[in-house]
Amino acid sequence: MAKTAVVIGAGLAGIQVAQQLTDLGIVVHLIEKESIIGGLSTHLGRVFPTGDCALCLDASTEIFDGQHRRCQYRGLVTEKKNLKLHTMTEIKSITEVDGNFKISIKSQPRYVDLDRCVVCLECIEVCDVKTPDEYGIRGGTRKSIYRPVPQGVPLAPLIDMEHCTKCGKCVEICKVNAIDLEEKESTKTIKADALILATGVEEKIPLDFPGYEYRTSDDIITHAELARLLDPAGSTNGVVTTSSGNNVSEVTMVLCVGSRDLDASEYCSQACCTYSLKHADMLRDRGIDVTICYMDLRVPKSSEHYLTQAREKGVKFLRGKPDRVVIREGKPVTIVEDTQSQKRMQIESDLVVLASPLASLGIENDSITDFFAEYGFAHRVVREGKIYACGTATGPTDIPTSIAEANAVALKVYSDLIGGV
Amino acid sequence: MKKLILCTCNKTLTKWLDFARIEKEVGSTFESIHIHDALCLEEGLTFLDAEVSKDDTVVIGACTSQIIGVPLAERLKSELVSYVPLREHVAWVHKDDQKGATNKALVLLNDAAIHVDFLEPQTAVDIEMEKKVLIVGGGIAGLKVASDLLQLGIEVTLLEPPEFNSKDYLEKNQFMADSSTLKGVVKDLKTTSKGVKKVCGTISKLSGRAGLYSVSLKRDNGKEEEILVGAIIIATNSEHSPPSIAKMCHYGKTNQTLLLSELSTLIAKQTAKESKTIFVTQDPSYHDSSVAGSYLLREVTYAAEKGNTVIVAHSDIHTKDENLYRAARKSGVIFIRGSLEKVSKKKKGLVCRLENTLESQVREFTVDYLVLQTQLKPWSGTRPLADTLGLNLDREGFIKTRYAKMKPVQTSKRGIFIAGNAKTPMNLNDALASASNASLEVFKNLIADGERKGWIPVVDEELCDLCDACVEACPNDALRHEGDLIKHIPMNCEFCGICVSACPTRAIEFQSHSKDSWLTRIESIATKHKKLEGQKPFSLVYACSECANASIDQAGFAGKGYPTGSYVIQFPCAGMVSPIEILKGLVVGAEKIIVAHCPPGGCHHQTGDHLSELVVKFTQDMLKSIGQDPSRVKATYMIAALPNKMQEEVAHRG
Ligand code: SF4
Ligand code: SF4
Ligand code: SF4
Ligand code: SF4
Ligand code: SF4
Repeated sequence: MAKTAVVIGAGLAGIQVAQQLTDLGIVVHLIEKESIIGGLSTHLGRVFPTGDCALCLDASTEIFDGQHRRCQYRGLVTEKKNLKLHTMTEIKSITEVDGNFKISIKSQPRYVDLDRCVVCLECIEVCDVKTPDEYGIRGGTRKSIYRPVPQGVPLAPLIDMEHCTKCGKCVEICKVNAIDLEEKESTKTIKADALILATGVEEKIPLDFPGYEYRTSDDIITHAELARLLDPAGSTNGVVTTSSGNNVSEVTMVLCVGSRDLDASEYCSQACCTYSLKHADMLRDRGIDVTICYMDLRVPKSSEHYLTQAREKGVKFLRGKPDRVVIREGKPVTIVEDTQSQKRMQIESDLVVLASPLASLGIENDSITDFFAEYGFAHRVVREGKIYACGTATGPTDIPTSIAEANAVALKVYSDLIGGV
Repeated sequence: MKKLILCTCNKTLTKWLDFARIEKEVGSTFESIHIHDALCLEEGLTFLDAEVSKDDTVVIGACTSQIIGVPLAERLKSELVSYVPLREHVAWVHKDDQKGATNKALVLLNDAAIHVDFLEPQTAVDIEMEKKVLIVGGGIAGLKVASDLLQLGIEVTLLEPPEFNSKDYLEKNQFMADSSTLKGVVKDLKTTSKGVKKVCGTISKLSGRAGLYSVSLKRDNGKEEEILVGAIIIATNSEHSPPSIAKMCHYGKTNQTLLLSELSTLIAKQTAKESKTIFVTQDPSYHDSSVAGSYLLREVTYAAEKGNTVIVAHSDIHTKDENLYRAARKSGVIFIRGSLEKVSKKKKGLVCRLENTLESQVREFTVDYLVLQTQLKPWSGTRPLADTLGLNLDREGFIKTRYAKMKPVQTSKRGIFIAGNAKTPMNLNDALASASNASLEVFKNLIADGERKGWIPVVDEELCDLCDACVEACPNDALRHEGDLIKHIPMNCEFCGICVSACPTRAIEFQSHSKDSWLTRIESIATKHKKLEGQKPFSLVYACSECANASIDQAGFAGKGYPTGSYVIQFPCAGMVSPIEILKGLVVGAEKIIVAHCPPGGCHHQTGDHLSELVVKFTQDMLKSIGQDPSRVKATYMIAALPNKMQEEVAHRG
């Protein structure tokens, strides 16, 4: 009988490992708690080291024998025979019986049948309820029935029941009867031979970071939020604005906010230096001035061109970790000692962007927390022959390293479960 | 029979497109027309199963081929299909212009009707794989690949570079991890890679194709042999090399200056009493990798723990392990920012003069030893090896991957992969992952059998001048000049059509996409447009079928509308577009021709982005020289993350 693996988390690493395993003949259940796959990358728009889409997948064998890559919306994640994607789903419990796992999962209703919806988007058009868009910033809204991002997969919309008035307009317009307002949550138990943690990281919102008034001002934002501002498909159409709607002309970036800090996240988040540079480049292209306050610039070799470009494009670098970012007369002011000149500086800008730590998501779910170790990250092999981890679940890193690790884990799982040719 | 099948997408496209008019006006072009409401659902697919037979040519006007094409690739009995993305490229982007949108649909459906006439069934390429692998080793990754593949039952030969002694693994890889971890891993790998066949020597020649390479080996003992392998993995090491400031630091002239890689030997020999002052410096002009940074931290900690006074002059400390940095500071290492400006040899020791770049604060240190952070460079034999195998190198001389973001072990050549430090300096953990990644790709390649399908280029011997332009243009080494023939190697081919645009005599025809087909289609689009829209200007977008096409699809999803009179013609790769198709577009009256390709360096076929820029530049120069407006032609990249690109590009004057 075919072997079965459960992959927890459909971010880039989870998708990668799932696709590789199905290519090798293993049945995979890919569990994702959000309504669309992609994880952190659904927020990012464009990513280093190549500057192209975040929602890009490494293609599986079906496409040019795996030599290609594919956009998420035309990738085959929802089309592969041996890959069962469960979105809006969480792990309830994991038990072990005779060396196999019994994994029970619970799925929230989407209210839209993935097998019926043809993605005509008419239901979204007719819905009257508008609510704030999680992917939007600066007052972006969405409907109560909505698609989170244009490339989001599965393509079908979902309903946010918290705001839905059950007016039934969408049900009526949907001639293929894809909408069921009474859909209930469902549970299921999967038997699996191996478990792969690909739970990923999230940008930890620096709500209570001392000295930084993130909470009080919408002009102090994180990089994921900046990425939303820079996204031409986002709620500002790619225009970088302040909370009062003005165009931004000066941005200050603060690196290592809460990373490498014994009082917050002790580790280095690895990716923030580089995505700060990537964003600095994109801001410079829009004619916006950028100052980066940093401790060390930790840019992987494969992304070194971002550093060169940033210097060429006139990004200002200031070595020093700001101790405070405050709001004065409505504008964020960064207070920092330049360790090179040993001068204290007060930098006023329109927007301050904080590089906040990338924190493990895996430890948020009780049934799997035990598999994680120091700082909430897991080892690549959690338990020989049984439990594995890959991608940023093993620690923050860049996409190429994540992908390589996902591939490595796929091979390990295959040789542990199936063996040779 | 030539059939047209339209989909209303849940009866919604009817809002923006006049289906009755479409049915009436294209009626004569097709032998049958069907309108369905949900082609992609099971009922639609069942309908298509029944409706379409093997010999039909079919035009599907529905959503993008990227969505509907997936289920249809399996369900349609005919391969002769042309898709018109009425939803993403027409209805959703022209919501306020029903007449214009319907006209555009008519133009595109008419074009597709012509397109299907040119379609040929795809050529099947048998996949045959020699189930043996050659690893070019020297690094730990090589041992890991060998061990992985042996476990999977694949026959492996490990070629070690001539000067390489297997005992060197520990010493040469010491930068990758602390010594006890490294020792453990090397010991394990040596056990698990026992069955590997080891050869000492170099590769002198490579021939054959992906899946069946013939490799000539020159052994150290003088013997030459040829082996057949399905894939090759390069797993060579990184080497320490002195930084550019070495000369200024009197490296080689005094034994007080040494490289970081020599420090541990020095410390190991030290007795407890001989505490020294050691000044360690980075090369400020060089951007360290994190593995080099971690290595530095481990070594200076060791030196400080032995009772030495250690000062590290640095610009950035790069490490993946913050605790190494903490340990170094805890052990008493002094970190100062600044760059070494001058070193003088004095009796009392070396005097190191440090400048803080911004403020020109000068500090001087008199020290017993000056230690230089080494730079991790590619193995010295990398260039000749890459030349023999036909691989590209990156700026630093490491072997270049096919695509930096998603293809971490694939090289520019099919069937050849890299692992570990052959790509870039990496720590043990990453190198082991990289090695297993390479093992996986090779394994997947080797177990693949059956066939793959695609349209291939066909060379007309009569027209061919044997100029080799196509051979050189092909990014995949799929065309070879053998005797007085240009031979096509289907196993290497990626069906991109780049060779076609390179041929000066136009001797290569790409199946289903002949020169004649492009010219006919471009002409008919113009004719039909003029018939329906009169004087209204129109533009043509020659889009690659990957990123550019995706960007245009996403314009629909993201609601980034643009004016009608904008026609997208899909090319397999933008690198297939030649000046002839561009000029044809201008001749038939297009206001603007946009060649849309993947982002710089991101072409799925490796070179199409670059080539199409060149072709457009060439065409622009040509236009200039005959007094025409070169701005009517443009090359640009489009990606799904920029769904606004189409909107920006096709906004008409007036
Ligand atoms: S393949 Fe798609 S997702 Fe990937 S870079 Fe191109 S457009 Fe973006
Ligand atoms: S749920 Fe119905 S109306 Fe909504 S997009 Fe899907 S098919 Fe269209
Ligand atoms: S039922 Fe809910 S989701 Fe549907 S249209 Fe009404 S409010 Fe919107
Ligand atoms: S990657 Fe850069 S910004 Fe992020 S924690 Fe590390 S040093 Fe700080
Ligand atoms: S250029 Fe493209 S189509 Fe032509 S032979 Fe090479 S890979 Fe094949």
